[in-house]
Amino acid sequence: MPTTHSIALFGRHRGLVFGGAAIVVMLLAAFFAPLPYDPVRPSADILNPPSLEHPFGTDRSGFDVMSRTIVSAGRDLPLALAGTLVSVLIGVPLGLVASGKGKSGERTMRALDAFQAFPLLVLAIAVVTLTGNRLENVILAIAIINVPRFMRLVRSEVLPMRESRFVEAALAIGASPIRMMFRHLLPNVTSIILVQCSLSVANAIVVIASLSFLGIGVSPPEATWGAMIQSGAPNMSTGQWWVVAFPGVAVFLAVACLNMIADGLSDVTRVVTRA
Amino acid sequence: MPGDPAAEILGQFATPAETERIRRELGLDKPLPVRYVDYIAAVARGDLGTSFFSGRGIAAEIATYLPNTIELIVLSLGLATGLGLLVGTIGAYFRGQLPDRIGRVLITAFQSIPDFLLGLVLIFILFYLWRVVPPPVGRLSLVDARPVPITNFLLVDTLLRGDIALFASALKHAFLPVLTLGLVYSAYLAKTARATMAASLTSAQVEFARACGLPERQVLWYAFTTAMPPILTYGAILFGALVGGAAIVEIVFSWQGLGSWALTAILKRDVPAIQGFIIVAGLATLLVYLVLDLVVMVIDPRIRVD
Amino acid sequence: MSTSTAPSVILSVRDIETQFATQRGTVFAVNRVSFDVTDGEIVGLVGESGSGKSVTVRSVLRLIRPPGRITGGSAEFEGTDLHALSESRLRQIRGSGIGFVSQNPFGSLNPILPIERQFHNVIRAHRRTTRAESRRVALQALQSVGIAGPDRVLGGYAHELSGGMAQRVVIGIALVLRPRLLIADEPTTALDVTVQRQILDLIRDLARERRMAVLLVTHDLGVVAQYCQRVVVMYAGKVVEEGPVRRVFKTPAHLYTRALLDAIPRAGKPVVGVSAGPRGSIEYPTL
Repeated sequence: MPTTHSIALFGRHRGLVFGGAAIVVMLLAAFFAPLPYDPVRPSADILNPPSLEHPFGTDRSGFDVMSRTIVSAGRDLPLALAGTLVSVLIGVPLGLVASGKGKSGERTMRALDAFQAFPLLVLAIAVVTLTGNRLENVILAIAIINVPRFMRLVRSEVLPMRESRFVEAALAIGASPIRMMFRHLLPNVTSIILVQCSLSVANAIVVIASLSFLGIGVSPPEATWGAMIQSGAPNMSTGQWWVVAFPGVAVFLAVACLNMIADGLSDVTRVVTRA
Repeated sequence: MPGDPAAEILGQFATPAETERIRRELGLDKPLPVRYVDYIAAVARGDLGTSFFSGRGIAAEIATYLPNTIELIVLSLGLATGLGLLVGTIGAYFRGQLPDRIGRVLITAFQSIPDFLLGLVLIFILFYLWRVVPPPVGRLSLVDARPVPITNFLLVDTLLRGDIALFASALKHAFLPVLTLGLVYSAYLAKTARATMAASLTSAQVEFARACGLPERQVLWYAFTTAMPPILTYGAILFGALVGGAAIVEIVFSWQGLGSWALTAILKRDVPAIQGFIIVAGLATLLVYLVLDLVVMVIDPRIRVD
Repeated sequence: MSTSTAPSVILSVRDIETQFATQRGTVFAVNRVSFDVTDGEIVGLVGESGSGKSVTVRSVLRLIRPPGRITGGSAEFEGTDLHALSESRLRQIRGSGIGFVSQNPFGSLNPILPIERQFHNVIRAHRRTTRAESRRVALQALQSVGIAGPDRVLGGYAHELSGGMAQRVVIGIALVLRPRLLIADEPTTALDVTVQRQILDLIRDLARERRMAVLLVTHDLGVVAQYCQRVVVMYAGKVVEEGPVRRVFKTPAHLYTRALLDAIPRAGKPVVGVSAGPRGSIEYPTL
């Protein structure tokens, strides 16, 4: 529970506040901002540079880049958030299970090690391609990538706690393990999970952008940042930079903000848990 | 594996009879366990099968594409390591002061940009605006003739044949993709380097070295050698991951690498190719870790077997 | 080197102030600390954890790194103020004028260089030498710290040594250039009890042989009683008492010193604790 003390601390962590605010603004803009043009309506104004009518220019099908950039936020960001949420909902309980006594936990971790050594992007592409080019499968791919991370995180917090004398003593006087988990374990783990969440959402945005750049998981003329970058990619060699630049900046901003949130969170939670 | 290769090969207008025929030809009608055992047996013999699409042997395809990826990774990680060590060490040495804060901002920035996006931006700036690199059409320009392969490693082959002009062309074409991957991964290495060097610089060992009056340069060197193993390990992990992970950058620059070949295989359901890729990626990772262990053994006397 | 017969002050510390910038504000680890060390004597710097004694001796040698900062004071060594010197002049004095030994010998030694090499690097930093010459000097140094079989140790590595031997090697390296003053920060805390005695005896013997002064940091009053001629008592970053060991132990002038003495367990008497540490103190990172 944030106390007044820790709220005062937020003032010192400009990165966290700025990053968080920026993401919220992006989401709000995506859903509520009035779009200057219909994002999927082609026009004859092909590859126009940024101007007063089209502040971000137009692409090779005549779409208005600004409208599409804003609308894409409404697809990419929620998708990344959903994927990460699913990863947490699956990964954390699995991590708790893997922290139980016995060798099975360790063997699971070894298997996950081998799994994570594999290029994960290729894996994501494989998953979406082979299970069908749909939104839900993108979420599945993100979950497959991130579940091991959360499992590992949870386990690394639970194990030392399991060995601690404090827990030993509490169990000895008859405290139930499940109640212990909820009252003592979860608060400590929560801060680390939150930090990893921000990082995972950032990573998910990159994965989603990469997938749509390759044409996977998106059907034209749907607007996503990756697809916009793909359509504008050949034009980078011929000088029409705006088709790639604006969605590119959007991706960069989203990821950078989430990284800042993660950094800020890890600073803040370190101070709070020490106090 | 879900998805029907036979349908992929024949396209949407295939008749059921044709599909059935192709499936039998490719051995897809046999039950899964039988196919699996056949495959393992073949691999043990060195036979990785034949691509469903190109008809070439998988081993031959891998031998064509893997060296390109290896050269890309070696050059990129070389740049990434140098740059990462520099930025990380400066950040650790001047912890909390201006050089460190600049370094941290740069690191966050380059970790926030997807590699293919950076590649496209660099193409725009360095090719279109400044014209200092050739167009991103592949490893060589469209008019260059590839040398007859000796080792299949382009840069090595051009040198072995004494073809300096071609070597230069290959280097020039490699500049952008290497810079792209190098910049992105230098951020990750810099972060690791900064952490390990910071710990090393506040260690008792460095303190004792300073207290004995050793010159600062030597003190830094002491700190450096202690900080190396985690950095080397991370580099090895990146190497293994890049064998497939460089795929999108390879596509942006038409690099003809293993990752882009694997992506195409996945999109086309080319099962033998996919299986071949998994095996090669796994072997490459194992090999890199083996080399890492050997290097660490040479550096650190504590690990040597008496 | 002083030629007068009366012992002179070799280290004169005046009003040293050292601060650490932490997330919870500035910590005044060393708060205007002053004391003297006379040529040839062993001075004990004693206090509990968090009293600032480790930070004090590191401040003398200017070994404090950010987020710590020395904000004031002077430390005159043989007449020269170490805090007014340039880095390069200071480096000359470190190792050849003043030797430094800290708690963990394995933390101090370089794990990947042979011991011989580590001696060579230190010698080479202060004067011209060859590998052969360094080896000769190193052999002598190892013998002087009581290591049998110095040949084998020289060619080996730190991890092959036991704790006691490693600390002897560290002392050997710290004293190889015959400094006039040895600063030892809890040199035996990380060692076995049986070995602690040996190391302290070694330091005392070396101090006597070479007419070398020792500033010995410890939390153990028993050590102070046995080995030191004078004692400086620190609490919360300040010196609370200073004087000859006999006098201080018999008639402590400060309440805190008295409490420390009372807390020494004695057979037949109930154990008394020193109540409440300094308010607002933070555990300093032990370097």
